[in-house]
Amino acid sequence: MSESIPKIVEHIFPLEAHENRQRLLQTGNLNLTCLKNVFELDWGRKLEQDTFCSGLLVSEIFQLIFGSTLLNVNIDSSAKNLLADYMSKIASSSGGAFPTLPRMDWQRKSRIYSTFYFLALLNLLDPHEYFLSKNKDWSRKTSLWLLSLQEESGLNEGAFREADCPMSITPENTFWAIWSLSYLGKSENDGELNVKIKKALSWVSDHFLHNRRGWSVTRLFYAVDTLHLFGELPNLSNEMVMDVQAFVRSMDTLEGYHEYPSSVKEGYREEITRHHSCLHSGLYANLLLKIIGNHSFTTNDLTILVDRFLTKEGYGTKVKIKEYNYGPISTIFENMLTTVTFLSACP
Amino acid sequence: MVHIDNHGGVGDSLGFIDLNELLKCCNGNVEVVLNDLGVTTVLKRKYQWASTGDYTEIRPEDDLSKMVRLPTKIYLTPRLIAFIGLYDGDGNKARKGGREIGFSQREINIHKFAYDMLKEVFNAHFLTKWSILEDTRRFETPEMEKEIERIRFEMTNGPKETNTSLVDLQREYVRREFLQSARKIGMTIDESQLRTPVISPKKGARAAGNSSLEYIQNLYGSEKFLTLWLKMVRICTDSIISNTQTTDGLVFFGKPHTFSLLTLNVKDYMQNLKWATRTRFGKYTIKEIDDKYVAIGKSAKVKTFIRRELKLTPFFFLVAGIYLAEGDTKKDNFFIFEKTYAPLNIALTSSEPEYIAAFIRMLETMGKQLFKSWKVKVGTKYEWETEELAQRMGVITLRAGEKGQGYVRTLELDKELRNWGLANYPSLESYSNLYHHTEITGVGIPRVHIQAVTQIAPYLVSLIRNSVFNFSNVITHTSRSNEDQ
Repeated sequence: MSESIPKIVEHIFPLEAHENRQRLLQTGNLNLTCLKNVFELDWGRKLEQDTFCSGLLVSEIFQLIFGSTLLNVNIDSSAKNLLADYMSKIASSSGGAFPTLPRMDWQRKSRIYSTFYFLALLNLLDPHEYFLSKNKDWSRKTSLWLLSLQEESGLNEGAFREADCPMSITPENTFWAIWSLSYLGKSENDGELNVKIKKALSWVSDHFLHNRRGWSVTRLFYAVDTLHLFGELPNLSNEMVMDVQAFVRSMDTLEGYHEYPSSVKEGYREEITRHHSCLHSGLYANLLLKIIGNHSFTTNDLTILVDRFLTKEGYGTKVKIKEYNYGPISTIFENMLTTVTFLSACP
Repeated sequence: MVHIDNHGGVGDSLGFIDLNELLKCCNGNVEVVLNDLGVTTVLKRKYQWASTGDYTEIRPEDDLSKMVRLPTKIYLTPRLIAFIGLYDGDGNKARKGGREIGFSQREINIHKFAYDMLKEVFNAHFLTKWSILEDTRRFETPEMEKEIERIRFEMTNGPKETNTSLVDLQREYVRREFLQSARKIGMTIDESQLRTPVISPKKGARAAGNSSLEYIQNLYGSEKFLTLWLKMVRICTDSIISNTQTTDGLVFFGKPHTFSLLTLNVKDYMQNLKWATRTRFGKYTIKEIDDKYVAIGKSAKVKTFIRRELKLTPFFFLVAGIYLAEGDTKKDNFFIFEKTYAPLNIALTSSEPEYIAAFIRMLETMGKQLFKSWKVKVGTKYEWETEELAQRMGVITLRAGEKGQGYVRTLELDKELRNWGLANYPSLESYSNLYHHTEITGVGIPRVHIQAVTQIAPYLVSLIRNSVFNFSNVITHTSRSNEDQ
């Protein structure tokens, strides 16, 4: 597993990494070494604190294993055995996957994002799709459940949302849903599925991008990456491409990339609010500009971008509300995204 | 052996602030650091002072024409300690700078208490001015429209075609309402003390008919003494919470967590307690357990273990005041629950780690397993920061309901905000397994909510109310105990 990454997982992010990975690891690039240490530490922490799977979320497990695989970090074989059992427990009998082993009843609900991470992890661990071939009924139910979450009419026709969360119509959810659907459905040559995916792509380009409302760096990344993965990017108008580029560049400030325009927060609050620069926004911005235009970046560029976010626990944004620290110092996802972006840097 | 002074007949004092010492220690340069709602403010002011035995005259150095003459020793009675806790929660803290000593609340009994205490502390040096704030939405019902029409008629003695504007009538309504409720509890307020009421569509009411009423009392002309007063509030609060007996200018007669002059006989107190239910009156069922605990229940079933004795320490009175300001119990219910059915709940929501720690400690000193659960609350106002947290974990914020209120459905966020709570509120460590969920609310910075078991609600609501407002009710079930153990 540590030697090869299934192509489909590499494609979650626009990663042209395989050759870069080998070469960069061999040259002992400082930041990759640092990241490798971080992932080794993460493994240590997770194995100690969470007795592995019981406290972990499927998203974290995917991010940890994906990052470790990219960096050739050794994964304990006992952990791999535990994973098979864990995955069978979080696969819902009604389709989809729970984010983790539920502690309470209200947590016993499949989510689009957790199903996406479940499938991506499955693909990492089981590239020959043994689980899916053994669990055809689960695959079918998962596809049907995901399709039931697509808006069938109205302004957001084609978008996906969680049934109990009306505000969850986002490019991220739509990306995760159609990635999962296409992954599950690709062996079935499903014509209807293609129609559904087309509708989702239309929502992304004709509604989310076209309306120019609710834009943020992350959302734009997922919107553009969705079109990129499904071959729709060339159909985007030049004007739209320029608007997206302009928006993303306008988020680049002296202290780093912001996720939102400052006017969004200021319009809502009376008090002066600290406006963060975010590591993930900077990384997404570079990946997005690379997909959409001829933007290129080197590992040196990235080193400058990410250095201010380096802590003793890894890379991370300090989110603040007023003077309060809000949230963890560093997340596995930030470390993984940093790794992915580094590996995508131009030679 | 400590010498215990008596003060004024409102109970024995538990310590004192020596103004002369307080000012001498800092050479008149008073500095106070305030942490309030996620913002740290440092206030500084230089004072000149002259102590003449029993009294000290204090003047701000930048305006020597202003002076207050206060007792050199301000005795920390139970009521004053409770008021300091209350002020720390609901008092003006000059976050926007240049404000008067003042206090904001909607419950009139609590205002009267604050009024009496401020008058006592400041030796009636300042005239109190009152402000009233309300939301226009309160007047958007047919009943309120009738009321407003009635006032229009009274004021103008004529039909609608007059020059009196709607907002003037709304102001008159809240003005009359305030004066009437003040009169009911024996407060006489001269109309000249009333500032023009503010009726605003942005006050915070969410729906037609909802009120967002707030009364504010300010000590007129007291701006230059705010720093000194806040210093007194902070040294008292900090000393009690950190269990420090003496600090610059402040002395307690024993350790604030354990020293008391009175010990409450809890069993006797509870036996005499009753509260109105929907159909009848409720009383506690009490069962003997051992020499330390009794088991209590609101029905025949007893399941909550309460200490038989409760020492009424400076810590207890401070937390009672803090709870009165910050607690989730509806303020009106403190005063009506014995006669009228009023749902009682004991819970505290706060962004301040010291309040959370103090509340937990109070529950621990009162009985066993009184802490039921805790959760993290964060306002929609901070949805961008919350979304950034989700993005940092490769997920999105999932919020149930059309408006997104309620449980956060993203378990990654739920887990991280639990960890955030544990990291920022160390006193929660022993209760990490009692975390319930994270909730998105209307406004408010990230904060922690602690829910106590419901069985103790009538006991604690009554005890807080009596110990702050009506001390004699408590005294009848106490014994004197000045040992410090």
